[in-house]
Amino acid sequence: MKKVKLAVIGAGNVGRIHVENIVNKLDNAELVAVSDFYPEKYNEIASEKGWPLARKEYREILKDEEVDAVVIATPAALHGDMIIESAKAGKDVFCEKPLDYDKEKIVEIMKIVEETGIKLQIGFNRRFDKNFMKAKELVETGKLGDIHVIKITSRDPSPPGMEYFTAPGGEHCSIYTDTTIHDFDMVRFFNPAEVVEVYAMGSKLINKDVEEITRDDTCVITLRFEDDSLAVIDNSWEAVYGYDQRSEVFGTKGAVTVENDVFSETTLHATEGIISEKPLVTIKDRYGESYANEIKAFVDAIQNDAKVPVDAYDGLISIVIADAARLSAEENRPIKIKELMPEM
Amino acid sequence: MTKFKFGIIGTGRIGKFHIENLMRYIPDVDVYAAADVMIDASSEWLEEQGIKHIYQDYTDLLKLEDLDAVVISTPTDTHADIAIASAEAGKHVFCEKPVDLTVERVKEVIEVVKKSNVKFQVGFNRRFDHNFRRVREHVEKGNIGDIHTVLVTSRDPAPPSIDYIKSSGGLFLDMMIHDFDMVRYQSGAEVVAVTAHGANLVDPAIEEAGDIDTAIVTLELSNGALAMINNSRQAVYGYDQRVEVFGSKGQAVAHNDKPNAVELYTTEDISTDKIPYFFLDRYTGAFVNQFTDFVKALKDEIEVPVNDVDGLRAIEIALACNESLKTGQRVELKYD
Repeated sequence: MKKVKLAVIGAGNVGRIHVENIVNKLDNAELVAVSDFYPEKYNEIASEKGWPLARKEYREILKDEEVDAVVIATPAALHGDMIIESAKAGKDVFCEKPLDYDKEKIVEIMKIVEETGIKLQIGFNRRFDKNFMKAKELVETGKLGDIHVIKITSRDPSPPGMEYFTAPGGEHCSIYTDTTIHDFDMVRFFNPAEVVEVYAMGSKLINKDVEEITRDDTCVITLRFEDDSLAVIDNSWEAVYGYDQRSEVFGTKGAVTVENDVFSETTLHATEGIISEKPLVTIKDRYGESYANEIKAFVDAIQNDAKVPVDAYDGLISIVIADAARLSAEENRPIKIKELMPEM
Repeated sequence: MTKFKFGIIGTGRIGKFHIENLMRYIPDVDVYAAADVMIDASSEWLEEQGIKHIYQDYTDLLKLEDLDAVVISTPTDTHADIAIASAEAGKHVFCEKPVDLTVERVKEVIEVVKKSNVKFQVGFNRRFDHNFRRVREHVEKGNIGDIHTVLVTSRDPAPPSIDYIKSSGGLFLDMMIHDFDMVRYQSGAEVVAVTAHGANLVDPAIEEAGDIDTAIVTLELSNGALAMINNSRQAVYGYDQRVEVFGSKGQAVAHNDKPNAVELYTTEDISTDKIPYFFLDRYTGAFVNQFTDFVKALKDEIEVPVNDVDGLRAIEIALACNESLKTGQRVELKYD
């Protein structure tokens, strides 16, 4: 089958992970172009590694007939318009999460995607992590029976810097829209039932003494599904021991737990105690393979003209749930999802 | 030194277990007396244990002048009356949880205990479990820094009988009450607000009996930290009891105890045995440790590690959860 020709728009930390994966790990795709508004840093690395050099203007990529599909990994505030332009240029789109912070905009995107007939996949990469895929397999093969409770612990090794809050679009950023958003998608990945209610309890504990920062950095969120089952997510922006990513699905026939991937399986037995390795720290280390898997799945969908595995609706719902969580934390009350669902 | 003379009031399953533990593991205690309304059912066994003073009416037991303390392991609705009578008789009290299902009666007990100047310990045994005690030690030593989140998972292998459920006061007063105490124990803080989410997922008969079988409660603590407790009445793989305390310097995680440390490797997978199935198996050590500490308090004349006020707080939190379940809203707790 013909290789799918991909272009990566946005060559920052995440964009470079995609570039590396497409070049090295995908045999059904070819990287034909890269763009970034500030290409210098990427181009330094690209010249060493023999990757395509980046141009500044992404619109040239959209006009290029050779490009089949684009991977959008720019800052979140730019996603929405770029998806729309790419769709109108006839390119299939893989877009990093979130599609947009504004759910009305996502509805607009969904309409245009339908009109233009392009494929749109959202970068919820954790669905493609080998650990969570195995957990999902155990759920799907009936090993757990009916799902009762999903429990996710998701903690970053360090908080975002001040520029996260002060950059354009920063007023939309919160732990709910940027960190928990993955977990909102994961609970739906494990249990395909719809989320009907959210209750979020947030606190500013890490940056307790920093007056300029007003947003929550620690939270515990409870969700109820339409099948009456429950889920709970706990997040923190600072787990000093590493990137803590654990999930648990509990049901009538049993439970599945997923522990952290660690640096190595080496254990030291000494008088001080039994010492083992910490969880992996960077996104690339912990989730690098899942990034490759999700692009591969995107390309497979294009080649086989099949549905993408995680789409705009998943992107929309995750933002609606995130908005509900943020409102819930502000107003100290549970929020019903249908209160915030936009008109479709 | 002379042993402390204990009287066990309520010689059902738990009462017998307490007697066995006291006799086997607590050398400073002489199990001197026992009382039970259905004393005929256990009198033979009690005599075999060498217990000399056996009564059908606990008030007769309280008349024993040499008696130092009582252990109350009767049905819940009798706890308060027996506790008050025991305190007024000048006996120290070890009382199974819950002290009562109402705040009013627990406060009555607290008043009488204060006036009588006796010691009063509540049977929140999980504080004495080797795993949860060790987590708390890490917290106290500062190994995890400032507490940010406390997570408790507590699942029973199977629900109790429907008859039991009907008179239990509901999941929060009967089952999650241990976990409310655990959150207070680990955090050293008070609970200022709760939001309870409940569901009926295990057995429709539980719903018919007016109770839930699955719940997630999120709690706000007075030190700013967040806590979460999730309960289920049925975990088919065993009695699942895990606690995690996460903070600015790290986290302490208590996994489930295993019945043994054996792994089996086959062409299929690596497997170990299920978790202990029955709470008496899982918490044997804790049941003993709580008496060790109770007796130490009597001997050294220090505070008991978990007292009547701790009993009250757990009830207050449970009742707030009942309200939250009913209203579907967050409930704040006010303490006088």
